[in-house]
Amino acid sequence: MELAGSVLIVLNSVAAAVLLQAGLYKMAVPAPLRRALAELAPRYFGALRDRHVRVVAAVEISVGLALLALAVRVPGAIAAAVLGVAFAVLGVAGMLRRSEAPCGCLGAGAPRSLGLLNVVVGLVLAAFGVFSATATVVGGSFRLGPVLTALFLLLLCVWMNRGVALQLLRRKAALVRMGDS
Amino acid sequence: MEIAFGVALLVLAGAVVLLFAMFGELASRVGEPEENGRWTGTRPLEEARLGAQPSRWPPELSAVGNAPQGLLLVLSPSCGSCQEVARQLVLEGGPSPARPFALAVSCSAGEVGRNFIEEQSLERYPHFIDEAGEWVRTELDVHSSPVGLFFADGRLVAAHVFGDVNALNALAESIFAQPEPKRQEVKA
Repeated sequence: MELAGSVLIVLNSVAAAVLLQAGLYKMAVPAPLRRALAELAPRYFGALRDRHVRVVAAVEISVGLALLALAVRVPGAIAAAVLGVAFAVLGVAGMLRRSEAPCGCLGAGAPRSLGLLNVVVGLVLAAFGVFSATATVVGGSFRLGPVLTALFLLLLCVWMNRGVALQLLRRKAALVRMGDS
Repeated sequence: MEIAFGVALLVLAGAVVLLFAMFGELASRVGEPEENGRWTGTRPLEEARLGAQPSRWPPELSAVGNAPQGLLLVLSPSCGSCQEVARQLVLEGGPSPARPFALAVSCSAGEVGRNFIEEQSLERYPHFIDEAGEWVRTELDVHSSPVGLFFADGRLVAAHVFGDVNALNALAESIFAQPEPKRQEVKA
């Protein structure tokens, strides 16, 4: 299948932003995923440590960056598909086991556990990976990839952390009110 | 040039993500203060190695480790909340006598820990001076204080940072009333 380079760049940038958001959040705060996995299957994941979660985070970040480089975009797309399948499997497992522990998935500041969102994002990512790896690119330049990814990353970050941002704004408003009274 | 600009922008966006992640984590750790400014809540200690069974128990803590249910309070001379907790232990008594209870004083040097016990009049409670916090750190991944560690048959089933002994007591009743798989899910 032939695909315009500009379309692929936008798709790759969105996928890269999702993976970077997920990986960077896990790198900074690995505990939620560690706890969620331990809750899901204590026998297999009970001994997980933060450093193991950070390895997963490093993989996500690497795959996200690989999608932006023309030379390694196909291996990156395949790896993204594999990660997508893994996300979906964990989401299904979370739904089946009625997971309650917040997993911090996709850098979500909200207390969301493994479930439907992981399944949807995982399947979309897997479909994108297969499509991107098999598509023939016609024209286009990858130079805009980092800028687009940065833009999508910022938007995604603000959306996933809207609760924290609103909390911050409310506290500021409360402080202003206290200062007025 | 275009690529360098994009990469710089991407690095900045990544830094914003890290900042939000750390801010969110910080916000979730800050409890609501009481009117007198003292935090009296509890919150789960995320980094603790739940399910772990220490490979060795100091003799001073063996009663906690050998009992079906036991409570260990980790205090430190350098933490302000620990001094509040110590005062509360002296004035209002320790946690429920229903289960063994002991103190682990995590301190830079043995003498500092012993001075803390003496100054706060905690000698009557079983206590272990944990130099450099080595035991709680290596066996249970506990790096904070004041922390209440809940053991069942020598296995760590829950760990909570706390600011009030009564709140910890209530939490202990709730945790130990739960069946085994549910203990870690008890929220503060």
